[in-house]
Amino acid sequence: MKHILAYGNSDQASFRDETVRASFAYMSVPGTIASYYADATAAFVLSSGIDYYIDPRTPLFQDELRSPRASHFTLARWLGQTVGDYLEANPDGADFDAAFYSDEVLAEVAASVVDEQRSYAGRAGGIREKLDRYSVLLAEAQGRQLEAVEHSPAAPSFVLAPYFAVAGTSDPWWGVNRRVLAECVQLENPSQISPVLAVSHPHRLHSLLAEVPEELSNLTFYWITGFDERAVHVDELIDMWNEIADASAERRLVNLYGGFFSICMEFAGLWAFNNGLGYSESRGWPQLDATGAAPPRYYVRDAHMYLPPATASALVDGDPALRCPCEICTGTEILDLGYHDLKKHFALARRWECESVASMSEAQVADGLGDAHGLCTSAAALLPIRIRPDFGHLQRWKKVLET
Amino acid sequence: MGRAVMSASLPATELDLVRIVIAGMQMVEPDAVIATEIPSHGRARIDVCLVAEDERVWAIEAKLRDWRRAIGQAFLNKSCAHYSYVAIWHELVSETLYAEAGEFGLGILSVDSDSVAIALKAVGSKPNATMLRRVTAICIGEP
Repeated sequence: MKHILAYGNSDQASFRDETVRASFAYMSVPGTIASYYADATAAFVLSSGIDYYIDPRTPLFQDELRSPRASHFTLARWLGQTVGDYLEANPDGADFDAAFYSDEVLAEVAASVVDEQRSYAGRAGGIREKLDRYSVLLAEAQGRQLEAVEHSPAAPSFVLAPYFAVAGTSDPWWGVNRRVLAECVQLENPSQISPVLAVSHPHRLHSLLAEVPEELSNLTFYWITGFDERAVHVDELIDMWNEIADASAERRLVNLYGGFFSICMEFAGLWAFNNGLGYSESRGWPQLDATGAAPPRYYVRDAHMYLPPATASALVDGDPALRCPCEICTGTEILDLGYHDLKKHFALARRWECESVASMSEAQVADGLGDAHGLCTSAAALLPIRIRPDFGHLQRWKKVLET
Repeated sequence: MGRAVMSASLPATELDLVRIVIAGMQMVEPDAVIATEIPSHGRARIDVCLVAEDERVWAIEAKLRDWRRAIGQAFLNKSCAHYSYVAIWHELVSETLYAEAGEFGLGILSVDSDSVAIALKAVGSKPNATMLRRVTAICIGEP
């Protein structure tokens, strides 16, 4: 299972940290950040030595975009002149209905979005000074002395097609998706362009997959909008599992927003999943434009969930078996962990989760979830009823693994 | 500590309840610094925070009705205060509330239209040093 970690603007120090770097295989860069903090992001990404890709976040330009932010204007330019000009002309809010995306506009969008990604490494030439500075920062973080600064800016590992969120194949926006994918087929090397499918329910994924052009890459990204692995009913989890199991026979699938359940879906054939450092294990639509640093949260690794630090501290006090043995948490109280340490702890916990699942059978993971549920529930029983976390997701995941 | 007598209006909102609590605590601890909406942990805020003359910190969660929620918040406030109280409209002070507050070492302030009384004394907590320092600094207005 490949773990992808999303880059956020407050995460630079974390992504220079060796502990964090060792916890993931790829870095995803939101198009909003890549376009708005253009030079700084390019300098960071291209000097990092990390394999990465850029998520073009095109559903931001679908239906009504209220009170667009500065980053929306810059990302709109990545979608080509028509989209960029339209948003500039409607600075207080724009309505991108399906009819806006004519064939000509979609051709422009496809070409522009793909080109921005393919040419990203070429930005290195214009930001040499920043690249040098970020290389020095990385070397300092790694305890290395830099004799001379050399750069080998790499292209993104994957190129993502533009995409729009749909309810299913009868949604008018699916027609827009189909046409933009068809435009991608006309571009150079379509087999290196990955389709992205954003759909409201897991059981509709296969019908969308059936209509993805064969000429495109079989590495397919998906986003089940609003699918919170911890909150959804067990039937939806089973649907999700079955869809992945069916589709992974012919495709490598990447979940754009996932957590521990996605790690478990390795058994169903899921190839990779993405999350942020302490956020973005699920994403609603049209809430895609929610930005800003996540609030400080502590990841309770046995519960596979985040809790406010005070609640996590109270829970762990209830049963020391829940105390995390990682290098960040050993000898330190949860309440004394700063923001950077909370992120580092999360990275270590996520790595532990991936490695644990990789070393176990489905039955062993299921048993572990059952044990965790018992442990967490007992500890939570010592807390006032209104602050007791709900650990029902552990039982639901266990059930899916046993089905 | 006795009952401090104040104004005679019924609180219509929690904010009104908080004002009565503040007035009451000013009489109970006249040399204390009292502040409201103090950031404590995560996005949570302490309704009323008091730094007494002996530098002990009191955290008070005020609720007109939902005392169980106040209990939950007050429990978490033990991480950043020496004494944690719930301030509840007097008609809701019940045996169940006494039992729950007592179970978690919390105190109860019984509030009516013109007085605040300590119905149950809080058990002293051992707060986290970092959080205590932060809450104290914010409460007394340190930069």
